[in-house]
Amino acid sequence: MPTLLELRKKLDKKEISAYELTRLYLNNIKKFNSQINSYITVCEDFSLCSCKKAQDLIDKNEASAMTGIPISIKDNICTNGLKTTCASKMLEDFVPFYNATVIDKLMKENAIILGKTNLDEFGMGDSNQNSCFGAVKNPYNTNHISGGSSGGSAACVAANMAPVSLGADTGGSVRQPAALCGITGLRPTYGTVSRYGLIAFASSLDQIGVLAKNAQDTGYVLNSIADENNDFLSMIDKPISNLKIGVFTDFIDNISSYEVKSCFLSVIDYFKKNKAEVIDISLPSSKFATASYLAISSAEVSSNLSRYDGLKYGYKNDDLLFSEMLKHSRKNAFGAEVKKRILLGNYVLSEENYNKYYQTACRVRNQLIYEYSEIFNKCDIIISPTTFTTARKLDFPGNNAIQDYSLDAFTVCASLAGLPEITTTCGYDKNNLPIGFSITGRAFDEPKIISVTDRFEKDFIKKEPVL
Amino acid sequence: MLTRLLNVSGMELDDDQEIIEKEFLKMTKELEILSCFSDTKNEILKKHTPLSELRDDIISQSSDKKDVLLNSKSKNDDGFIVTKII
Repeated sequence: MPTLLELRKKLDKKEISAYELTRLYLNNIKKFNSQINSYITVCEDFSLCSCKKAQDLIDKNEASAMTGIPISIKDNICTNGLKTTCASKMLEDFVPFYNATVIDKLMKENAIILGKTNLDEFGMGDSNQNSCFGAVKNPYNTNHISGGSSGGSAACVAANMAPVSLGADTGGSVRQPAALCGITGLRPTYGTVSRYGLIAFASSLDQIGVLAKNAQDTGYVLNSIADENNDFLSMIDKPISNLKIGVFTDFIDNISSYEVKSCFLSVIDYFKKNKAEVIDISLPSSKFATASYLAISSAEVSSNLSRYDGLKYGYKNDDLLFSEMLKHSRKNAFGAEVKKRILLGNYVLSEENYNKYYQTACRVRNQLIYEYSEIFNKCDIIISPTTFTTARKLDFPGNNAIQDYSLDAFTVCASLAGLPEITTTCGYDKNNLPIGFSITGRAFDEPKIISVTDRFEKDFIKKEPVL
Repeated sequence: MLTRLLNVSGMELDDDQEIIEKEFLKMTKELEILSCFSDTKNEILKKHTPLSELRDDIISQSSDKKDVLLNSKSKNDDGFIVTKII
């Protein structure tokens, strides 16, 4: 399937119409969604109706970057008149009366919204198995997880059910599923993209990101949805020789999978062969990063999800007393993972634990930010593996928290520091499951990390999944 | 603790005490991850002075404003004072 830039050219040259393109992806959704379970809602009528206006603009040569381009949206981003469920019983029938800012921007350019994609409930999880609409399967092997929480978005792009998707990243929820599904995922600098209309998980960590087939496509979409007037593709085709690349050599030793380790070492070799300078760096506070992320994110979750009381909107249990209605609504409508994180959040914020957990976590976060700034005094970018392993099986036994949180261990550091990070594929394991690596940049340095990733992708041939 | 936690969380897991405790135990693994913060000897965890200590340092340095700050401190014993100085 062509990339976004290729689709833009085909549309503008009238080689394909907006209707034909949208129909192509809708047909793929009909063919593959029952196997993969990427979409919660498919808006066929809405998307086909949107094609007319888009095509009129294309015919008059007045098309914008995203005019007539189909896109799917993670189902925790509000879309006016279209169900936004967060994959939770709590919001099963919730229909927003407003668009998220990113949706307004896409609608202004007459992009075509194909539907809303599956996710872990309220964005909490890293396997997309915590959805009340069922798990998302990995297109490379449907017995394996897609990763999460933006698993639906990643899988639909990988399986050609959308050329691009918007996801939301808190601790790695765009980057990790992108790595496990063999596509490219970009988490921009915190604050680059408006969070208005993104249903909150952890407000100081949440950021809307882009999942696409390649780095250029992520930059292309970011140009349309970011708040800044910036050309995120301005550094494409700049040479990578003389680039100073930081590598956490102590992270490499912790990679349990031989295949992930050897793929990452080959990435380092690639940059060395292209005359980039590879510098050993360390991030001493990273050993506390997972704990810091856990404390801060669960504390913010406990606050953000207190709004779901059965009174204003969402699931409501019919009780006469408010206190009973509140408890029963939350008991019946939240999944186990969400309940656990709310309890944990209130636990770390309790009077006796606040200093020990939450305040310590904030201090670790500050220390991480400081250590990153020291690193970027001597490096232009940092590269790291995205995950320790490839996608595990859906029925993996002993699904424990340590195992789950370990999938986030590499990605939480950039989240805590608010830095931009992009993930792309660098290899495949013996079961043909994708292996990803990440490039982290300075704050607001998306053009550089997109350009370096694009350069790598031009020399690496990605495999398509066979469905 | 658990009952207070459930009340604050607006949740009711079950009336059965055994089930409630089992739910709490599900957090055991998360608490295991957080237990690394108990390593009081680790230098990293000692860095970045907590706000209350920072406030006291600033008060001790700002001798000309000490009386005002001490008065403010007696009224409102939290980070408000630091905000005022800044």
